[in-house]
Amino acid sequence: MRILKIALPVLILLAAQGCVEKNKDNFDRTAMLTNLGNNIIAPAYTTLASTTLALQNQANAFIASPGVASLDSLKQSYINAYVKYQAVEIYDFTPSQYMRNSFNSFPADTNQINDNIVSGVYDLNTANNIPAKGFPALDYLLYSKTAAEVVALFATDANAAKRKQYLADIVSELNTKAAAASAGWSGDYLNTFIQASGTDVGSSTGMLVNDLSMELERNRRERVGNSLGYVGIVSGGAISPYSLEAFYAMYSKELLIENLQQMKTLYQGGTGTGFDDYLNQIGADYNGTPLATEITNQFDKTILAAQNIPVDYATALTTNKPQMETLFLEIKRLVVLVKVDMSSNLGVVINYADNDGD
Amino acid sequence: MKKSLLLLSAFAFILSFQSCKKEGYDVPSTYNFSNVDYSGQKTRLQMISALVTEVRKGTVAGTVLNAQLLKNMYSNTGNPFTNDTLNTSGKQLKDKTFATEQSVLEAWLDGAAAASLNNGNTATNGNSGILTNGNSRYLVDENGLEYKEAVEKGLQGGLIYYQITAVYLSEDKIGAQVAIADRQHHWDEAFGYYGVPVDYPANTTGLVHVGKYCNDRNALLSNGTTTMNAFLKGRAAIDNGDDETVTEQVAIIRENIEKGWAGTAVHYINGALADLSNAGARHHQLSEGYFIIKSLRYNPGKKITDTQIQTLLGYFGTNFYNVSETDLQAAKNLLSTIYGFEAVKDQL
Repeated sequence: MRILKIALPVLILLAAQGCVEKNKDNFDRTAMLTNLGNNIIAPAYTTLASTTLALQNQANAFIASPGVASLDSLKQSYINAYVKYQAVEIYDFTPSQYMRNSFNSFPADTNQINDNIVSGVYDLNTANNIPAKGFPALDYLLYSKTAAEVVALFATDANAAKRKQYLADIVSELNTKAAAASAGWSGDYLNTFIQASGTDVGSSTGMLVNDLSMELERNRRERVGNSLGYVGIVSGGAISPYSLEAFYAMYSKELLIENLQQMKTLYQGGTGTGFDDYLNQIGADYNGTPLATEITNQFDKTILAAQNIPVDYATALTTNKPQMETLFLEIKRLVVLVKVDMSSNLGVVINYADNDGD
Repeated sequence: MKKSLLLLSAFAFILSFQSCKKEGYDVPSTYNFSNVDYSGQKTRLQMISALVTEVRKGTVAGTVLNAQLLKNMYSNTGNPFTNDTLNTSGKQLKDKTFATEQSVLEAWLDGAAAASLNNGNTATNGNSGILTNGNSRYLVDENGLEYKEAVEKGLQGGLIYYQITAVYLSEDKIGAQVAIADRQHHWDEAFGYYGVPVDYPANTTGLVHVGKYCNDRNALLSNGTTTMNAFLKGRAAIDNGDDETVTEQVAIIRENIEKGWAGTAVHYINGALADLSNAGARHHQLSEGYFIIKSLRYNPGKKITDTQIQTLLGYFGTNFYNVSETDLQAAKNLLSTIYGFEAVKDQL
């Protein structure tokens, strides 16, 4: 232990020198950030904002005239917005920081939702209401009963008027925040993002690698692991279908696949320059194969594992559990490649979940 | 940024080995002076750790805490510690805690014991119980405040931070009129409470309590290294009757411990913001930040005003279930403005 403590400063110094050499690479990070910002990130927010606006319009139509047809249109716009949201959940930059907390904290707290509706008194900004709003709350409100029953809850139920108000409030927050994020990314922030072209803490490259790693860990833990009964990476046993994203809509699988594909798009920079080009440029190696190829392949394996499950994930937890376990393990491998191998090759410090251990 | 920091710290590392002779006397690079003694402080730091460990047991489902035992550990009554050297040390935590906080701390100990009866239940708004984050378990009260942090940060603030900044570095304890042996001893006692090894920052083994948290901010704020250098310089100045330098070093220590302590509050606010949707992680980190901010008032050289402390505590509110992102951003921004953390506030 003592030797380790003495060796550590030396190692840090050596590592620093390693970074100096690595940063001699002539990879054009500014060009990569220009591509990612202009062609991938900012357009994703524009798309999200247009889908949340459509969602708000459909919600207003449903509130004005609750019926099976207007509910169906609302559900379609909801699914569309939820899918498009997957493309932005990864990013935690200034214009959209902490967005996932207000948009997608699942599973929904259904007791809190019902309490809020019945009381009619709530502040959606408080911590306690985070799992009572956003897409998960809409999932519960629109899908937890048959279409006819949902319509009745909004049309004839004793709390119908309050429920309509709650729906309007939730959808309004989604649309307002999506519009603000979209405006933020379309404006000056894009330049700020491109100009922060280093690899240190706070640089855009540093933040993107952290965001990629963090979102992959969220997929492993919250989109798959929790439902399988994992605590951390240790299996706790009991399955928990309610923990799945979009549990009531039975749309967990489609959302996860979309999320993974969007992350792969970011990694590859779409058709332009991305992290794979960066890793190739600096000659990053993984046991004799290029690390860039290894990560691309692992993205494909993980997406395939997600697609291979033939039924919705809640059903799969009982009928196809080994395949769900495989999916968990493939995401876990992808996490390690990004969090450890990619970050160390790029000289990026992983600084999220900086836990003091107490 | 990171490279230059590393280079700087390497320079500081080398420089720290070279004794400074500017004052006409040597300032050693480690806390090795004649007749140094802070065994009483080491004992109390161990007592705090032991008490916190006992409170932490209340997170295990089915383990009920004994309120009397907790209070006996606090006042060292009736041989409450498993480590008998603590029992027979003649030292205790209670009489060194800021006077009006002693009953507050005992109320938290009573509360922890009562709430431990509910450690099989998930805590909700209005009900004490357990919140989790992965494998971590936190026992919180009906407003979501964590008992362990109320006790740990309560003592780190209300005892350690208070004793260093307000008691042992006071004019009464280390002023020019005090006999030199007493001055030296009081200075050593302040250093002993800080909780860093004698050869910090070259060596970071054995960091505890306030010294540990201050060290966690050192890479960004240089607060830990600056504090250590001031402790060294001040003790050498006392040894050589250089009163002016002693006074200067007191101000530097007060300023930099406060910087490290306040920076730690920003660190936990950042954590709570990132984990706002995860109740366990959120309430743990809110509790850390809240009780640190509460204790900033003890430092007589503090940069923050009492009104600002009240404003900050107001952002947390009395019920952590009702805290919002806006509240926490406001708290973070206010702290960053007061302490000049603007450039590093997102990295803290």
